[in-house]
Amino acid sequence: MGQEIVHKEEWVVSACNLDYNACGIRVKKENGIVVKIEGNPESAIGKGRLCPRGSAGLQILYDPNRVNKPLIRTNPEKGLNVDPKWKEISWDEAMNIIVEKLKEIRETDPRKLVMQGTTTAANTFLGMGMAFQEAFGTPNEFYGGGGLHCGNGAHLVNGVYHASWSLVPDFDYCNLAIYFGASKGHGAGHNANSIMLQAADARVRGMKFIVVDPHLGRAGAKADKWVPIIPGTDSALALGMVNLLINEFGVYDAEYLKLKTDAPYLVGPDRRYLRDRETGKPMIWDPVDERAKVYDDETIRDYALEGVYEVDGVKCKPVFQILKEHVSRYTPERVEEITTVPKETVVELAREFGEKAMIGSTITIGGKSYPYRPVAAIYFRGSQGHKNSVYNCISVELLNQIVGSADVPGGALGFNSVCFGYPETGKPRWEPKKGKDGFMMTGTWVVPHHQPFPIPEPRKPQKMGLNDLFPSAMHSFVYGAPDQEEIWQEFRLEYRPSVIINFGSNAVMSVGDPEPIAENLKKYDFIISFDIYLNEFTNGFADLVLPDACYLERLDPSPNYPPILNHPGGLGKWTYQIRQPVVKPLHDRRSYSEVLLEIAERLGLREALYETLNIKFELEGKYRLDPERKYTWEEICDLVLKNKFGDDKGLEWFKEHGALTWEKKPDEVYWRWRIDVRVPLYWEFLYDLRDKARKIVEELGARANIDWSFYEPLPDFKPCPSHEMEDEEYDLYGFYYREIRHTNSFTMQIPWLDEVSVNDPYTYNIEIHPETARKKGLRDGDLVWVENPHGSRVKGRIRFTEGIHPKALGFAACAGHWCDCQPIAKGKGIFFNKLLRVDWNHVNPVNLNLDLCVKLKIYRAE
Amino acid sequence: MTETARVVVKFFGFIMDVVKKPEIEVEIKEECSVMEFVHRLADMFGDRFRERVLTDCGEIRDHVRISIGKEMVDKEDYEKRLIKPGMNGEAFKLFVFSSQMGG
Ligand code: SF4
Repeated sequence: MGQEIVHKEEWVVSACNLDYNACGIRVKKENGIVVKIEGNPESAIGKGRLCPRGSAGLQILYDPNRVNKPLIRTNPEKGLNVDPKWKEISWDEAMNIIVEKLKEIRETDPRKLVMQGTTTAANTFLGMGMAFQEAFGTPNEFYGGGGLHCGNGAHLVNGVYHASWSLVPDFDYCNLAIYFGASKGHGAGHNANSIMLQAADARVRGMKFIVVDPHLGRAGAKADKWVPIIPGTDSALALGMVNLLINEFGVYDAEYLKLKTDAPYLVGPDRRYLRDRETGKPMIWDPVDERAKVYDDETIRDYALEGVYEVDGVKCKPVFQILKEHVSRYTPERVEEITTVPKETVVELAREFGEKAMIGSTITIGGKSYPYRPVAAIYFRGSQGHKNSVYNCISVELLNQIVGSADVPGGALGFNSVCFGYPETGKPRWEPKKGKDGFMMTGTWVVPHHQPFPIPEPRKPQKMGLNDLFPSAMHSFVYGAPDQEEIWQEFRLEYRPSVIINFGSNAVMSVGDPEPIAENLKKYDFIISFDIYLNEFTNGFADLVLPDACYLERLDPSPNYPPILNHPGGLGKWTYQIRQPVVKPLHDRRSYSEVLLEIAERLGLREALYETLNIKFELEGKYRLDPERKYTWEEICDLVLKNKFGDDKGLEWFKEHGALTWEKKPDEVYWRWRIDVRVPLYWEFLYDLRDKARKIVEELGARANIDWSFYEPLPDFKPCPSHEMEDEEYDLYGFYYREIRHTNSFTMQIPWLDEVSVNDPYTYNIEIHPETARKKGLRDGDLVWVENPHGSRVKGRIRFTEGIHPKALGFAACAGHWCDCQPIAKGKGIFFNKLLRVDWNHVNPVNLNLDLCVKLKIYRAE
Repeated sequence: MTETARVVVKFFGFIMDVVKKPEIEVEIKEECSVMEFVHRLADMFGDRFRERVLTDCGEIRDHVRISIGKEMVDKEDYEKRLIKPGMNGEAFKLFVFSSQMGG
């Protein structure tokens, strides 16, 4: 008789991390081996659903290509295709090297350290990574392409208008959602799985859904109507619609504009608000009393939105009047010229949006009456990833503002701008508040010590990305700029960054043209990289690679906090959950947070780190970390949880239950009229930013070619370099789109995902309209080169689809790995980013967002 | 109160390159507000400190946090909250955060 086989089955509740959404998961183990991952139906984050990446995640855990031991580079040469000649070393040796390197720069100039993360694992990086950065005293962080491509504009504009990171339609009540380069509810983006369900239910309910995009992607495939548009021209279409709404149809929510925006603020001939001499507050015109008053004067009987007035001899107009005049240039004919959207379609879109807004209507929810505006204009990466990033987003947002559909039932909702907290403790709690000129400040942000508005004053650059001179930029192009050193010299950066601690970012692939990035990376003295796989960044440039624990081996106390980043919006439930190790880290893998904790201890940074964590996690009273004693990461996580939810809901409780869930209140979701705040249609503050930044630039004598016309208070269509390209040979607009099966370049090594990708005609190929191809004598499946005007080119096969604008070429995701260390990913797909220029001419001069459309020529490669 | 006393000041975050040491002692003769005390530190450390910590109008910048001992001082209390000699042994802690993350 053989031994009896014991079968032990176990389920562990945790959170995914194959992108930033951190969906709730349940993981099945058989005899200690992970065999299956499912969605956790108890969690509002994912609602029991997983995307393909989430299901395939267990293949990461056991992939034989994982990094399992610390590796030190023995080849001093660095470069895109250089063999690093890795040598395995022990953790002890690795830690000694790291501490020595960091001690040196901490003592000489802490600014020399760069903390580099990735949006993929943002919720881990934002915890310990950012706390370590602050404790160390460096202002430098970089998020790879995920950050630079995706969010400088949308997050800024959503922060200003919705006190939130991003936007969704109110799927419960919305009747018409128009998406401008967004995919909310189709498998990509924030809260992907939860809102996929919400969007599907909304469509069944009858919500009409229109997608404006050069590409008929997953969103377009589910839409009632797809409106192909030239990439980067969204502002022209949106401003054309605003023009029709207010100048032709007379459709606008006057009450909302008067009470919730700066539409009535008077603007003088200097294009600044007319301000009260004594208080400095903006003035409005009261048409009943026929005189100007400060905007919050309690005697105001009405607000003029239109007309010309004279105040103390100064002629002035309300913002709304100026807006009316400003948008009148965007006639349907002109919009068609810029966007290729037929003028009839422009009129139809505007008319339908205006009609369906049902201005003046109300709805009762939970016994309380709210304004009901069941239309939403949603924007994200597609519209914001351009030189005109900020204006594209503001222009689309104006549609919501004009009809009053911001954060009311049926409208465009920030998620989650208000939180009343877990009922038993009242924590976490935040809501927007009133700031300067009556404008809204966010209640919380991704880092609690910062608000996106008011935008901080520009300062002489201390950050390597110049973000302090351009303070609405959270990510900067300077990292990958070919003239990086000249930029630093011109802006008199006092030091040069010399050490990077990287956490999972493959910045060589994710940013843009890799050649200048490679040259820039060669200048660093030492690069430490926490990775689960070796990749083009680590192999080419890292000096020391640390075997990171993957999300199934790691503890994170707050994967969905703060919930403006990745918690579903709208009505429903709140969930707070943890990510916990499903298995102990295999081999010599160690978790990033634990390693940083140990490094801080060995550098003598305990007090600085603990105090920073106290602020970051808002730890109070007995839950504060006491620098007199040493804590483990588990103990810290325990305090973070008990601080929010009480002594009975610490780490042990969360390990067992995984997720704490409670009901959202309608007033948390539909807060706009409850909270006394306004938002700006007219970004007067851009003038202050411009004047201060320009003065610094002039004082420094920097010759940077900054187009200050992007700092005008009202948005305009401003062309990207691709729109201005005159050489007719480069006749197609190249852009990339998010392939929902992949998270940037990170997941292409996963066999299941690869299998579905190679079987999809488009994922690893180039999309072209058949008519366009035929005119060029190209056939479906041809191998072609596509080349930008600077001579960079990539090779791939074309596949025909009518789901692409005839003047465009579409590329999926961030593909085209060339590194041997990811054998499944290697050679698959197209490395589109190689075609992107990373320089002043290709960034938005307000927020430094990279322009992601590029003019291309195409020719056969065989 | 006339007697001179010392306040321990600890610095954290993106200010170490300016102040060089993590901790100093500052003599004060009289009670002063948190705001006045920060201005005093700015006078001691000069323009680079001032730029990092104060706005052009002399307000404490939004990304600065201050605690007295274990207690965070609310932004609204910068003018009201008093720094007293000795402060019962509690340190004045000034945190300068750098990461702005959008907007
Ligand atoms: S959406 Fe993101 S977090 Fe959710 S299952 Fe997919 S990869 Fe995981």
